[in-house]
Amino acid sequence: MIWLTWRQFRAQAIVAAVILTAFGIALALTGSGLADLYTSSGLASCRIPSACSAMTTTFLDEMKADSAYPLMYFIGFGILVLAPPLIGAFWGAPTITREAEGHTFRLVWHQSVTPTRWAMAKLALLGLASTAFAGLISLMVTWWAAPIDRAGGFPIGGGSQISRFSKQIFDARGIVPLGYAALGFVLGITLGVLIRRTVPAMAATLVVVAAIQFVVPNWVRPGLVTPVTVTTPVLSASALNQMQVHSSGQLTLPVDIPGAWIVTNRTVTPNGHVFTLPNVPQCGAGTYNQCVSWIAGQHLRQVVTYQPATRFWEFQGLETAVLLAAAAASAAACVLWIRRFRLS
Amino acid sequence: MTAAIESQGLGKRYRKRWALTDCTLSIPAGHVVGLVGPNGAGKTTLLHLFTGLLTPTAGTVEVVGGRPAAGPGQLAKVGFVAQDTPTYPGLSVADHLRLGAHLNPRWDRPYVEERIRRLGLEPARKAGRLSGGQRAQLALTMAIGKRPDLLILDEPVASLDPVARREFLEELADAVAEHHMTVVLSSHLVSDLDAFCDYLIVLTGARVQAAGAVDDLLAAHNRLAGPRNTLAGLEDLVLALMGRPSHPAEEKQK
Repeated sequence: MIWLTWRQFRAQAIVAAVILTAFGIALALTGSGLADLYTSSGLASCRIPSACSAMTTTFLDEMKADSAYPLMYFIGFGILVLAPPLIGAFWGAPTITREAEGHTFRLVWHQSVTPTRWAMAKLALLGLASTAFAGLISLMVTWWAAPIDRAGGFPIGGGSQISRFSKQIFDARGIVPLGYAALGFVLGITLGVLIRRTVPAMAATLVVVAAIQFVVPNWVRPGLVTPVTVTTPVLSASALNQMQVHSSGQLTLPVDIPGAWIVTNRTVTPNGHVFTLPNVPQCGAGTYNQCVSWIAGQHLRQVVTYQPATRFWEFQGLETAVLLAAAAASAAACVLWIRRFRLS
Repeated sequence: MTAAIESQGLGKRYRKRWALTDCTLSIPAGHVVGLVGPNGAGKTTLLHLFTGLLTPTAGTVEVVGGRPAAGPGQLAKVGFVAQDTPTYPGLSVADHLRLGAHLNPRWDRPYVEERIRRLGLEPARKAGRLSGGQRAQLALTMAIGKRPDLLILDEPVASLDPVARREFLEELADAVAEHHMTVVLSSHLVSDLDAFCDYLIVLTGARVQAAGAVDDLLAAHNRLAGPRNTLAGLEDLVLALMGRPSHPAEEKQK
């Protein structure tokens, strides 16, 4: 089974190896320059927080001004985000549907190998290949982007940065990509077994895996560990000078907790409700200062729930475990289905 | 003599339609069994039940002493060539043989290599670029190469031209003579099976109309029909068996 699985996967494996090599070379060529930039900015040896912020700005500005670094940063992110649905659709689903459409399962299941073992070999060997591929890419990207992540994340204007703990980037760092790749691959196989036709199974895999990539950061990850809540003292007029008023009437103040994942950031009234700016003359017809001092008189506080930067690896471990458990459950269901219903 | 295939009240239903009902057979080992019947009679369903690709809705079936496809040992004893002789189009002839060698404990490598050479199949050629006849031969070689006790062939010659058809059946006859296996082979063309099968199963409308050794069936028919309607060939016999409604009383005689 090992030889056959490898023989049928050979073409895809070569494509994967080419991508890995090309991307690895590109990262290696630009990565040392980025690390040098980080060192020369002084950030590497900076120990005094007040002095570091200027160095951070210098480093990030120079990084962003370069032609290659921002491109590589987003290519790395893009590959890791696209890998799970593509692995599922191009490696997972066709593994089964090609056999079903060409009726070759009737050939291979009449060698002296049971369908159960056949399915387990495909799941185990190709699943390992998928996780290894995503793991290697993630290892390279995490290494390459380390200086940017250590400087607080990629600057996206307006003083904000996307840290490695942010909703989007988190899934493209560390060990989480392994979990997504394993789940994407196993879902591809499972949908292939259920649908048995290549194109619909591939489409379904793309949709389902993309949906999981959307659901997990938004609804699963926030519940993994109870966030830390901080409440500021009553907001003064000077604090309110940095406020942003949204079209809904809600107002937010920037949060500066380095490296943290800000889960919620709300401005609340003394009885705990989210504050929305009412239609008062001070803010309708008055000056900006009149408006600010009126808001300051409302005794508002800022309530922020967040996951501190130190929890990054705890979250990585937990989310990977959740994804691998889902992959294992899906794989077991797939094997049981083949054992019970075959492919007909 | 032990039975190669034993079934009791075997039936298979797809949603509401019964593709096969109440099939009770006991086929002794060592025969070349022809399974004939019109298209849609349930031949493939019956063969898939024998191979374990399908599980019965009703009844039981045992092949060479075990439940079909019950485990690796059981799979090793049964060779199967499915309809349209599926092969991996992207794999070469040599790859297919390696596949067989890797996956079958009883793989007869000298025989397989000799046979492929004799057939003139280029080892490096991709199976997708073989002709229909060559693909059928490759699939047959793999099925024989695993040294099964029972070889099941589902319409192996349906897609072949008359010349390739004859060659294939001659090859098969040689292989059967050489290695003592029971062969079950289906066809909707009785002429394919003439002079090759010594046992016959006639299937029409999801039911077994008759099953038995060809000589016995002929003798039984001729005894009933009287001297004026004496049949000589398999083709006449099958037509006679298909043409009449099922006679349960007569089947019990056998």
